[in-house]
Amino acid sequence: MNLRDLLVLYGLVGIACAVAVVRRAPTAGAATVASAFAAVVVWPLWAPFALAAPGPRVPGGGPQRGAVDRIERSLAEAVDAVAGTPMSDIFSTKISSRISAEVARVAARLDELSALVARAGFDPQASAQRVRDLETGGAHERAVVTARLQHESLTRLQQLRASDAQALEDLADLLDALRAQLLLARYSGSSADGASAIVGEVWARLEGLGAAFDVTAHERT
Amino acid sequence: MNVALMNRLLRSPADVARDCREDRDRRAVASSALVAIALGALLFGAAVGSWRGGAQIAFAALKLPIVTLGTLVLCVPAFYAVTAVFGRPWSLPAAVSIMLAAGARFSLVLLASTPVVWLTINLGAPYDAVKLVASLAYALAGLGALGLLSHGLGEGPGRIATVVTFVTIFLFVGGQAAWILRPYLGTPGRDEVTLFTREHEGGLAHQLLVSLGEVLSPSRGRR
Repeated sequence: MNLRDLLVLYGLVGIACAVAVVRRAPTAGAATVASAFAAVVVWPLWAPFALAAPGPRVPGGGPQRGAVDRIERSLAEAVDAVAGTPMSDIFSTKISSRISAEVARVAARLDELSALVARAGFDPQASAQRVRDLETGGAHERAVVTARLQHESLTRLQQLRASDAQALEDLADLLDALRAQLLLARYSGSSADGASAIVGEVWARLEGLGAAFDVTAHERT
Repeated sequence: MNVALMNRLLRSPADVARDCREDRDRRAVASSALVAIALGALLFGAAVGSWRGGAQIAFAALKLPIVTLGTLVLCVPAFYAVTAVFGRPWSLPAAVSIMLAAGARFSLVLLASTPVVWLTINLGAPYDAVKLVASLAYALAGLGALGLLSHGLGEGPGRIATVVTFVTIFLFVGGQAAWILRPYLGTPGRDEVTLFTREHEGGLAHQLLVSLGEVLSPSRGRR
């Protein structure tokens, strides 16, 4: 096999990647054409991203699935509301994608936390019962302290999961409000200052969620 | 191209590298990096080609992005394997995005050096001086990329071994790719402008061995 054969083979794989990119694209626009072109020319560098699954998704059935669905719906409608208006600077598709990716990441980790809490040995009620058994059974003080520590950690994990799930629900409410604000600004021609403030608030809440997760991850390691 | 991201690549490479590892905005990093790599190499190539002028500007501007991107394409499997072998079994997108981010940093430094190269040529510098300045710009850009690569690998055993192994592979592949597509400045002593050199001098490794033989045993080299 000489260099020409290799280049032909490379080109054929590139064309196959480009076809896959075009078929997977939700809309046919300049971005899709550019992506398909990059897939032909530098498919080893671009195909892993162009053909990747769209962001980390929460496995179906997770307790926060409803909130994530609401958020995604609100984001899509908010983007539609500002399309073709000067407000697209305030809430662009890029911002929406970043929020969506961040929410998906947070939700995926929440799901992981939920799975962890649901595992055998991570039940706070069982750990509380163990503390009681040790205390009433006259166990050594050191064993009781260890059991208490275990119980406190598990309780904290459960509380964190619950508060973060609630924060995700609050975020969904906030994005509902953002969508409404943008629609109002679009149809009434009023200022989008309110929407701008909400976008800032969304980022602040996402950062808060991320920080909470970082602390959680730190504690788990 | 995301200007904010390019700014982060220069100012806080560790953050970008961490984002690549943790799957935050990898696609955005990859797309911006590809554009930056192509654009940086294109402009640097045009500046280098301006020593000869005319069609050589276009030829060098066309060939340098091909060399840079081609080298990255050829080195993807090596980087993926080397990182895994030395204790970092990343996903393919993670490995590729770190490589692309390092490549983008390389191109941004190259882009920043372009005015210096152009000024050197504009001041009437000879072939060897321009070649030296261009080589220094490449070395500087390489150091910039190395910084991001090193951050990208994170802490842990095998970091230096990974960097050394990959850089060795990258230098050989990149050097050979650049050698095949030469000339960029133009051929000294000849007015004609050609897309590729017509001389058959063997590969880069062969030429390095010949030069080494010349240095160690001048009489044997001359034969």
